[in-house]
Amino acid sequence: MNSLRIDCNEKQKEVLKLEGDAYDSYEDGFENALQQIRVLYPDIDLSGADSMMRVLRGRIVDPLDKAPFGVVTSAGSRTQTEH
Amino acid sequence: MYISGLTRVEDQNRVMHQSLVSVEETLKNTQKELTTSREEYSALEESYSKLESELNSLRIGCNEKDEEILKLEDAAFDCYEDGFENALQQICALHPDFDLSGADSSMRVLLESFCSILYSIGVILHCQVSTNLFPLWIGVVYLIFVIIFFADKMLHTFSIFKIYVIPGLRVNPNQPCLVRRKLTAWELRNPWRQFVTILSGQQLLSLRLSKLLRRSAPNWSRS
Repeated sequence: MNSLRIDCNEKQKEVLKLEGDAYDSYEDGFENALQQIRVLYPDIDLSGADSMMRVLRGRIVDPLDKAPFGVVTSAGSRTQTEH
Repeated sequence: MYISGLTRVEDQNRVMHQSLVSVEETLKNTQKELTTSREEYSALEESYSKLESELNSLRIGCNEKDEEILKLEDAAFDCYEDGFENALQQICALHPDFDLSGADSSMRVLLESFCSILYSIGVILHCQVSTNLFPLWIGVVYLIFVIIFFADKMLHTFSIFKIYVIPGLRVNPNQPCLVRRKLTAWELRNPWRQFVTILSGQQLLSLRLSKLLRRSAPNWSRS
């Protein structure tokens, strides 16, 4: 019983750790892609790439950004209103 | 005589009455013990069923956590792939003319510092053992210089080592090189382990090392 409890606690810790690792894995994949592109094209300018951004309709946008007048809408609407 | 016989009968009667009273007391005590035992038994039974249900819930919880761990491990892969794909999309949006087909999420970039040190070790081993071009101490001094020079990069690099070379793509140790290998979920979570895996002699590293050894002498003066 005790060993089962300890086992469960350890698993819970692992679950929490894995939940934290999800973001790291995302960042890791993003950074890896940038590194590979830098190897393939050493002179390329990647300063515009940001892991917090997303590509929508061919534009790099902030998926959490809000539309004017405080109305929350999809990130795509921001690009439409701005451009 | 009659009176004495009567007295004897009375005595016997008294004795029998006393024994009857004691038997009754014993019976009462036994009944009490039985009641107590029954109560204890039912209490034990209750606690046993509680323990059993707790054990079952623990087992179920453990199994659920196992499933959750597996899901999260898969999710780590998905997150990694998502990050990689997002970066490619952004680069594509920034530079539409670039061909990004050479990028592969199962590859990694071997950084310059590691290449240099690996190269240096290869040079030293090769030149000292087979050609005897220079004394060993020169090689050791050079290696120390390289390690000190790239120490800061190494510290950074150690945390992101996930390596393996695309055979023949990059052999110049001055350049970072792409490396190929499928990462396991466990390795994604333990970058240091990947480095250990490399050192423990994976096939592609030895392939790369042999290439470095073959071309060691001409590049020796590069530093």
